Amino acid sequence: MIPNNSSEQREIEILKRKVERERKARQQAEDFLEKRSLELFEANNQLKQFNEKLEEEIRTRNTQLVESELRYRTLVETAQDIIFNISTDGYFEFVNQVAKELFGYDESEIIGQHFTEFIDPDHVERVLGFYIHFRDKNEQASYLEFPIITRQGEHRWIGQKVRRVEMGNRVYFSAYARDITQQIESEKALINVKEELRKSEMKYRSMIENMELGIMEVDNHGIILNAYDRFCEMSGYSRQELVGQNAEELLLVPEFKAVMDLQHQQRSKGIADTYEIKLKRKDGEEIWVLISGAPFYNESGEVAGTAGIHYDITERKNLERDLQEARLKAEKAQMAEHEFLANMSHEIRTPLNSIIGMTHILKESPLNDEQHDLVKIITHSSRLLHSLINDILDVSKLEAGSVIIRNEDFNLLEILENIQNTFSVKAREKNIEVSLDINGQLDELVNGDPLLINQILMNLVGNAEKFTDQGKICIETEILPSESDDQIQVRFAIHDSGIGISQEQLPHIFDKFHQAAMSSTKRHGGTGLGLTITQKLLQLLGSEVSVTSEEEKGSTFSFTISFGKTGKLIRTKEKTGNEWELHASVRSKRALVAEDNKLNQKYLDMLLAKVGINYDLAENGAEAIQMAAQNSYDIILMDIQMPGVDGFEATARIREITRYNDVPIIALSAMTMSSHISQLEEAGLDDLLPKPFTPRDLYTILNYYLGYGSVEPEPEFTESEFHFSKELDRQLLIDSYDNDIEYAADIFSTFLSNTPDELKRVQEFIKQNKTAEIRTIIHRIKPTFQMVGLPAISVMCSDAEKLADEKNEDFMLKVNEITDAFESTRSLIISELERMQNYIKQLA
Amino acid sequence: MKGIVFTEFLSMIENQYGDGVVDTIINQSELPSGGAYTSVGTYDISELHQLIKTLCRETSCDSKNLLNDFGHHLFGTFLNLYPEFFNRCKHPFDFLESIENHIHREVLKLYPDAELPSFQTNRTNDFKLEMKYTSARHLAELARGLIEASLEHYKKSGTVNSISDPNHDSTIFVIELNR
Repeated sequence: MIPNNSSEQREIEILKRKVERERKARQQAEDFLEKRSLELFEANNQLKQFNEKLEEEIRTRNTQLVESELRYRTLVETAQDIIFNISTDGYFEFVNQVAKELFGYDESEIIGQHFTEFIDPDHVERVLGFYIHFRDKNEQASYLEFPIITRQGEHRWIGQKVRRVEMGNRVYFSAYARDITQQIESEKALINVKEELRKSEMKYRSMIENMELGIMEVDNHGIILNAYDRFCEMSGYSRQELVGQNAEELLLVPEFKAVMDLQHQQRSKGIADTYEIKLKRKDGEEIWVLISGAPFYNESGEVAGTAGIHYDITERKNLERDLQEARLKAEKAQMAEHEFLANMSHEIRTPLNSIIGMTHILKESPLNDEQHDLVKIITHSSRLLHSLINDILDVSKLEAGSVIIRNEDFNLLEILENIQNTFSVKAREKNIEVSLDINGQLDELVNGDPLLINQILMNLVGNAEKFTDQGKICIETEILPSESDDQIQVRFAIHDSGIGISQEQLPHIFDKFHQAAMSSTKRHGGTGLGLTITQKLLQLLGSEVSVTSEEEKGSTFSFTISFGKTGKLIRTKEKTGNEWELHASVRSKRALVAEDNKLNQKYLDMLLAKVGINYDLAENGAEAIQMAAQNSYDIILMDIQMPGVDGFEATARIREITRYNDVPIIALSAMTMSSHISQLEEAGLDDLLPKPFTPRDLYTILNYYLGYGSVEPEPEFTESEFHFSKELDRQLLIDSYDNDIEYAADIFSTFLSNTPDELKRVQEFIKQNKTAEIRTIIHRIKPTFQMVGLPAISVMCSDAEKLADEKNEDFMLKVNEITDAFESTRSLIISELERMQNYIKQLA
Repeated sequence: MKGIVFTEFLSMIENQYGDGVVDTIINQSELPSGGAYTSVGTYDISELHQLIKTLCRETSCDSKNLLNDFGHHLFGTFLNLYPEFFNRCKHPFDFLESIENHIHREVLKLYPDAELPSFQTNRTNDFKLEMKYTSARHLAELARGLIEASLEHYKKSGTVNSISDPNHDSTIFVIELNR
């Protein structure tokens, strides 16, 4: 169609533009839709992927859930514990394998059952009550123990933990339980054991009670915790009256407080002990009890108190008291007997002394043969009587235990030689030889009791002589190897060729008043006490006599004695031969004799005149004091029992005079008891000449106190021009150094530089009371004193060591003595060293 | 601004003034889109203002009245296209209140880029409602037309007064129904 006018034309134009706009708009819309549709597609795609991812995740989660469940199920099934679930009203919903095994039922038999079906009917009520409470109170967890009954009818105890579980709306209980049957059974067993213990305790307690032993228990403060029937009976109190009381305040007799205090200390240390005290009964009567107290412990092992077992010993104590009184009476009686013996012996000895003395003098006077024979008989009889009294006195002293063992340095060889000589004279009459056989060196003084040794040897040799009519007697000594350096062991044996002893007699020879053949008493005389005394004396010295014998062949008596070594050499053998011979120097001395008995005066006058000693006689103690004051005497012989001023007092008064400080005063007495001897020493008497004495006894004393030392010849020094001081032990120094004065000077110098330091240390240790250390030093310096010629101080050191070993308190005193002794000789050693040094210079 | 506003505006102009006026105002306006609009598209608001300006010059009509008329027209279009929005409400205030709370939410689901005005409501009672229109596009008269049309739709009569607040791009409509 062709447009016919402009209007149409314009409409066409408008339409065209409109269509064009519509087309463009459609295009826009299509673009938009396409774009949106693409967006939709992509969104869809994303949704799809998201969906797939979600599905995948759900699958994974499902698998994990399955695995997890499997894992937990396995865990529950294989667990060692019983695991089960029950509903809130108590029905089983799940059980694991262990539960099934324990119950003995299949799962189907348990699930759906009420839990009370399986519980021991005796416990159902308790368990049910517990769980109803647990459920209704909404508690989260609980624990309970109870027994179940298995299919086999067995009782098993389980300990069950229950937890409340909430899953969404559902609530149930999950339980974990364990079989605790064994544990419960051991607990029951323990309870049984405790019960058994209690019964056993009861049993023993009642046994003790039946044994008249009263038991009481107190705490650590002494308060009574319990008292049993027998103790109540003993004390007179009822149990109610005792419990809660202080045991000591109520029961103890006050004088036993100290005993109890000591016991408390012991008990607190857990020490049990037995002791005797007195208790006061309720009725006021006092009873003796023997208490065995022992601590008892609480469960933590601490001492909780004391249990005491009391035994009434009042009767026994009374008996003991009676016995004690009886014993005291007996002892008094014995003492009286002892005193009687001593006095009797004194009374007998004094006249006997006169008889012997006068017989001696009579023998020396011109007599015809008949008279001579009579005198001989008197001599023999009086000697026998004398020895009999001595023996009886000895036995009595030994039995009373009043023999004191002395420790002094003495010459054993001299004693042996004296005995040999004494018996040789006697035995010669029977044509018997008495020999002395010394094996080993006896060249030093030994330390011991010379009197006892002498008596023992005299007895044994005298015995041998008595029973031997032909052949010989041999005194044999042997030095045995000693266990310690400061001891010397000597074995003595006395052989004889006498009548011997039969085997039957042998065990009885040491019995009192017994002799080998009863008839021999007559034939051989004697008291029959000799061997008894010998054996007792040897026992006192820690030795024993042994005997071998063959009838008609002879006997051997032997024993061994340990002496202390002194290191002092025996240098000169004293003359022992002639009893009448005195040292020349003694004869020039002047003596005072105090003696009231005329006969004794005469005897002494005769003996002193014989050896030419000048003497003055005092008739009593007062006179003696006066004469001593007026004149000067070298020795005083003092009778003890004198009228008025006795010998003790006179001696003490004379000692007050300065010049008599060191003059020997010798007691003349028939009193030889040890108590008297100590009295002599206290009074200041130097020695005792026991009455009756022989001339030889007197001369020995005079020689000893007046002659010894002053008659010793000056040692000869031929090899050395250097003379050691007389105050030192010259011989020892010459032996030690020969002629080597330089060496000696060296030793002296070392001694002087060391010893003061050592002794200073000793003083320090004394302050600290260190005995062991002091002993060590003393032992160390002991030989050095000998090296400088002071053996006496070495001996003091030995003594000190001995005291230390004996834990004797005198040890410290002895140590101080050593120090003093050193100090007093120090200047001597110094001057000696100077002299040596000068001598060495001169030689150079 | 969604394309439906443009397509419905041109449709109303075409109905009122014919194709020629539509063609003229499109030609006389300088439109980047060239006046080809589709309801699913999105166009700049200035194009609508240009078209209104050009139309008012061509036909000597009042822009306020024009926009009010357009409100009535648009209500009818919406009623046709989306009847369920209207059916679910029995009272005009219920409907007005549902614009902000319900309808705009549904619109944004389809057109996430849509720039929608805000309609805040404050109902005093069933006869008085305050509605605050806030938009940078200054189409308060269009909103008034829509409000009036909705009253008519629910067969209610009353007055719609407004107070505008140019500083805040907002206008408060006070809607009072006759009793």
